[in-house]
Amino acid sequence: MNQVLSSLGFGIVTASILLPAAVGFTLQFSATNVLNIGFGSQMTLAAFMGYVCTSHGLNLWLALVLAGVFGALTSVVLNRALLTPFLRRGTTFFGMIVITIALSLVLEYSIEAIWGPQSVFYPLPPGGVVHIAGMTFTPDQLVIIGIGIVIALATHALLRYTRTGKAMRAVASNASLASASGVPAQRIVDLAWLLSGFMGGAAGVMLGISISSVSFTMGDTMLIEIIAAAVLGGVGKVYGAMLGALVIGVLLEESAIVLSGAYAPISAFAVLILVLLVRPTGLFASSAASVKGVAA
Amino acid sequence: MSYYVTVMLMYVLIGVISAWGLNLQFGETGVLNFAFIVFVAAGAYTTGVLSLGHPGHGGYQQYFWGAAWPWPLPWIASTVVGGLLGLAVGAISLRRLRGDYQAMVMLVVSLIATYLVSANVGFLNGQVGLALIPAPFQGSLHLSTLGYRWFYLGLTAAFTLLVYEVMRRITNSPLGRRLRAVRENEAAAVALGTNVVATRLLTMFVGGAVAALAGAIEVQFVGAWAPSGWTYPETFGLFAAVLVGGRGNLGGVAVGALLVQGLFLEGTVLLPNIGSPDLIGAVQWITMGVMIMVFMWFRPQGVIPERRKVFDGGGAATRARRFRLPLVPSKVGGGARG
Amino acid sequence: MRVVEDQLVRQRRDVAGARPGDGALLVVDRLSISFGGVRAVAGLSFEVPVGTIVGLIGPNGAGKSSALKAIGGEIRPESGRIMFDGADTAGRPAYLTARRGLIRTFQLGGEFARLTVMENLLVAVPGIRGQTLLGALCGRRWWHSQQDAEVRRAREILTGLDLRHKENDYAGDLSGGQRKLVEIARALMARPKMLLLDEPMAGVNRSLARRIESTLAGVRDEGIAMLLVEHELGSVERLCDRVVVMANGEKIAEGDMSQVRSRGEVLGAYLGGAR
Repeated sequence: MNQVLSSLGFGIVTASILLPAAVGFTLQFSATNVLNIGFGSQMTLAAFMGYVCTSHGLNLWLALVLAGVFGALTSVVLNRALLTPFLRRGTTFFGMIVITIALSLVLEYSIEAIWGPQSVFYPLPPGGVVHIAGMTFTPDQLVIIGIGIVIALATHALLRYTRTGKAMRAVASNASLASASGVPAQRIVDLAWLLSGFMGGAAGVMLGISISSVSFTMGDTMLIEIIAAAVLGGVGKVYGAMLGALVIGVLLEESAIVLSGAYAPISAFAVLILVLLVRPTGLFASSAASVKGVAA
Repeated sequence: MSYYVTVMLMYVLIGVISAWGLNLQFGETGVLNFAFIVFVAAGAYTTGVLSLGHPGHGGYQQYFWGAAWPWPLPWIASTVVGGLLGLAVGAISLRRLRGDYQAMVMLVVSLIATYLVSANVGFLNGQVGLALIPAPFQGSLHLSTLGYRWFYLGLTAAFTLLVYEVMRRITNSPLGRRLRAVRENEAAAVALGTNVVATRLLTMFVGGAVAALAGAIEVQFVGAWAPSGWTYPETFGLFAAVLVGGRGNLGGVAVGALLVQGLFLEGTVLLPNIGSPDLIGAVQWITMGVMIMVFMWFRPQGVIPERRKVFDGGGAATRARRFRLPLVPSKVGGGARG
Repeated sequence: MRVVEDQLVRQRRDVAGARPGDGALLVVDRLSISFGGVRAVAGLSFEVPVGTIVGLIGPNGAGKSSALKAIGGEIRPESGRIMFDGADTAGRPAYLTARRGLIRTFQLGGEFARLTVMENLLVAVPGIRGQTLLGALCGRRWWHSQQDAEVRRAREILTGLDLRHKENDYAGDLSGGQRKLVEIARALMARPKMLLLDEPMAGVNRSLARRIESTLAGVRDEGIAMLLVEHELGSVERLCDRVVVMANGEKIAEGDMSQVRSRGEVLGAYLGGAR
């Protein structure tokens, strides 16, 4: 039981990192219908920016915020300068995936070119542990969880209660109708990328804190976990991404009890595949999708 | 210098064979197999395990089974394993999922495969991988190291031609047309009686087999194989080759492989010593990324675009004029357009 | 206009001869379709006899497209039977129904854009040699003579539709009207027993509509049955042997167009029921 609980603790931390990342990834998809394979490397770049801040003596959490801001800005620029021109030419969905792959190569290896292949570290404040409900946390982990919760609530509030949020949902479900109804689609898309970049950047720093190192490949595995979380909840559905992040995050850690350490991540992904076999559009399946019951 | 040429040619040919396999899946049928490198690895491991002989008695490598089969049996086994694995992966990920989900599931599968192999040391020697894999006929032909390399190169070239012929027959036949139909418009293909799922599984089978063959060839050239060499981004390099060269076109794809694989090896040699090997490696990947973007912008149909199939008086398909890629999806109806 | 070969006329006789009695190629029996709680079609029943054209008409939202999609196998009905050529196809995979001779066309975007017109037509040929892996690996010698014959047949069909000169154009490059003709030509290549046509006249100018009408009439004369969803009532009147009128998911009238058009329920549905 102890093990289950302590793993649950790790699971919550992992989920708190995955949540903003998965929501960010999903926002990009729902705003522009692009599957951004470069998202992991965007996170990594922001994480390194955070490192630059801390290596100049800035407070870790301030660095996190700055990294988030950096991520937000680069995200909007990337969308406007790279992805939108390609989309305007009529590049297909899969063509865009390839472009984001190229983007991820450029970003990731530029990071390696600048900072080298070895890991760098954030200065973590020393501190004791805190015991909550049978689980053990370090202070940073608690802050991470806190950030995750805040982002989840803020996203929910944004989507539900603000006009901007409603506009985003409108653009996500039918962009041309939305803009015909007066929604400034371009601005909404920019906002979506801004937010997703911020969340990704913050998540990148959070990841660096959690695994105690920052390296140019840290986005690679993270990307797959993000995709797993986003797909589990249903591609393009923000609430689904949150739920997916929770499930994947906890599973990644809990399965370490049953399976030996190296196998643990497999279970999370295996669960994703199992869920998709049963419900091909993810946990939050829409009713229109379920009508297509006859497989061709 | 001659030594270096053999290395480069080998990697180009291996890349060409792999790219043709991916082209069948992605270029012809539109299956986004982001787990492609797993099939190459399966072929490499199969040949490795079947060439190393039994593990044990103090050997420092662990792997399951083990045999010392004479060539070409390991290669044949690899091809079969690749095909079957293709079917298995296809059955899981291609049946009920939408295209974008399929792509993502494939990425996940690629990662799962890496984990599975790395985690279990007894399976394929885990993270360390297999090494000291013997090459075919190395002992029996009394050739110098360089001479053997040329021999192996010749062998590879022969198999490259074989794969070319197989691919050519498939793509020029009614089967190839069926693949392209599924790529273009799945719903219409279904409405005309095509079993789309079976078609996709077929390309997974053949593509997987070809990928595994490439892996088998590569592993006996290099002599070793480990998980770090087949992480999921490797697949992206092959996609780059297919796209840059011209998908759906065997010659184009070969050119793409030449450019992408060849360019890198050239690049390594020609680049002045600007720094550590890591830096050079990083620059290679950055170059590849930029190259992909440039090609996707200026020449999305590839260096050699897919050729239009024209039927002569008797009905034989011949070469024809260049393909004009309609960049705007055809669902935008109406309006005379040529 | 000879659009199809003698083989098809023979086929019609076979089909007619094999039918156990009433000669209905398609029997829709109490078909019901729901989407997430909303009833799109309720208890729809009608027949399409061999060699006739039946029109399915009604105001927007009547459920015609849903019915057509269920008959074609694209969606699974909630309940009811769909008997095509003696076998129940409700809920069965769409490609199997197509192989049994029930071919549907698309209102929009049904063509293979980056295949030529000729290739579009050749894809439709059922059971062509060389489309299995082994057949392809055997090489040209195995399949090319059959393909040559099919190419000639395709050229006849294209000539009949005045599209022969577009044979080597990419289908995606054609005008909307030409693409509709290619749809029909392609469906004919599939040697259908019956066609499901989803608004073939939609967005089409008058002269092209006339051309499509005469093509379809010719196709009917060759023994191929058709079920036609259409809004253009003039075409429906000229083409269809019978019509089935739907509104709000149900059949409200059936019969000859002239009988049906003056009935109160039908007028009411069109005037009041358009959603």
